[in-house]
Amino acid sequence: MNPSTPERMAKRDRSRRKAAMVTAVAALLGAATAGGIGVAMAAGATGTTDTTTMTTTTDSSDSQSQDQLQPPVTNPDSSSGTGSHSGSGAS
Amino acid sequence: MTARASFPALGTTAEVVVTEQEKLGDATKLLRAELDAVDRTCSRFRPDSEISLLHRQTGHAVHVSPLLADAIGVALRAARLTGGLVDPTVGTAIRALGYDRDFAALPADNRADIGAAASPAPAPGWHRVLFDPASATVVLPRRVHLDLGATAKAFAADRASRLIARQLGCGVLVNLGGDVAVAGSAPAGGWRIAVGDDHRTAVDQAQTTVAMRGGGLATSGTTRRRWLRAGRPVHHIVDPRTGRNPVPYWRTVSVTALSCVDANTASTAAVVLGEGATAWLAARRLPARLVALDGSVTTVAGWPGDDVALPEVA
Repeated sequence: MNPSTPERMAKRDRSRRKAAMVTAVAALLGAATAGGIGVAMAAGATGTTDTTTMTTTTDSSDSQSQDQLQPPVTNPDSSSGTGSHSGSGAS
Repeated sequence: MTARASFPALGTTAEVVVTEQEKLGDATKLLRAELDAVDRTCSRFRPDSEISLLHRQTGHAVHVSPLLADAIGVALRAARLTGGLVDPTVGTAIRALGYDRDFAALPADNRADIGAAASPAPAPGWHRVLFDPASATVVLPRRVHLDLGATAKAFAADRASRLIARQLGCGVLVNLGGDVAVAGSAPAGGWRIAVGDDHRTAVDQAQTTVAMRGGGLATSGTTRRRWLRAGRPVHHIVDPRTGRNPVPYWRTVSVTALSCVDANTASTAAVVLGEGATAWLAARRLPARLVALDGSVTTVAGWPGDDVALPEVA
């Protein structure tokens, strides 16, 4: 069989793209294992490939954990002062 | 002595309070610049925003700015940590409810009917967004639009408060429509935050007041940003599982957390969860105050008890 037929070239191209995706996924998994990146995987997304989709999340804040919502260092107190500095309500 | 300034931004009121009066001017400038950057980056109502540009390139890998990468990362984290109760892929669903323009451009609360828009549909799901934070690259699947509204204000409040405290070396409180973040040294006795149904009237009509020294406090509720759609009142909080407003249970939920983003993520998730929210918040040790539609108040996880009787909402 001629190795340069369009079918073979397309197949080779798909293999290369799959290999690149696997490499990228491995790199991201490695980073996630090292900490600092959360990873979730789900099948069947679109985008530029038909392979498994990977979602990673970063955390820009200084002290937030990837693993859970973080409670405050100290719980709020009942205010004993007069007046308020600010207000919170639905917006 | 504290000093304050306020101005309109991000479709709401921005307020900055500092512990050193002479630093108010610089703090206000820093806050304005930060909010302007967030608006130009994250607003789905601006056709020239970076996120609008991203929405025009679905199906393609797009390199985004560090600010948008951070905002998307925060939104995806919120989705992951709430099991999808707070999901940025509700963009299409919330437009179907009629929230397709800046809220100020929508008909005034309950005074006009926008008519039926597209049928509500569940959000596609945050896990379908391909995001590589290391390269700041995003791939949005086709027909997936992001709405960062559930986290963007809190994200901006956290960023701005930390920036101001770091650059000016003072204590600071940033309040973006009820999403409150504090940083630096708190005033004696802590930052006193009045809590009410509406952020605009919370100080004058406080239902309770708490003191906090760090982190964030956010209130989510269904009494604001309401409009009529096909004759029925709707509001801005969407249950990603259905694409509709959550089953009504809470009028407002206020939460404190290590950051304003975490507080607002939890308060929004609680509104979506409904009755199960108290256990959900308690399990995460997030101090919270929940006001049911009948006005009854529940406090969990160390929020100071108040139990003020409130009028029932029709």
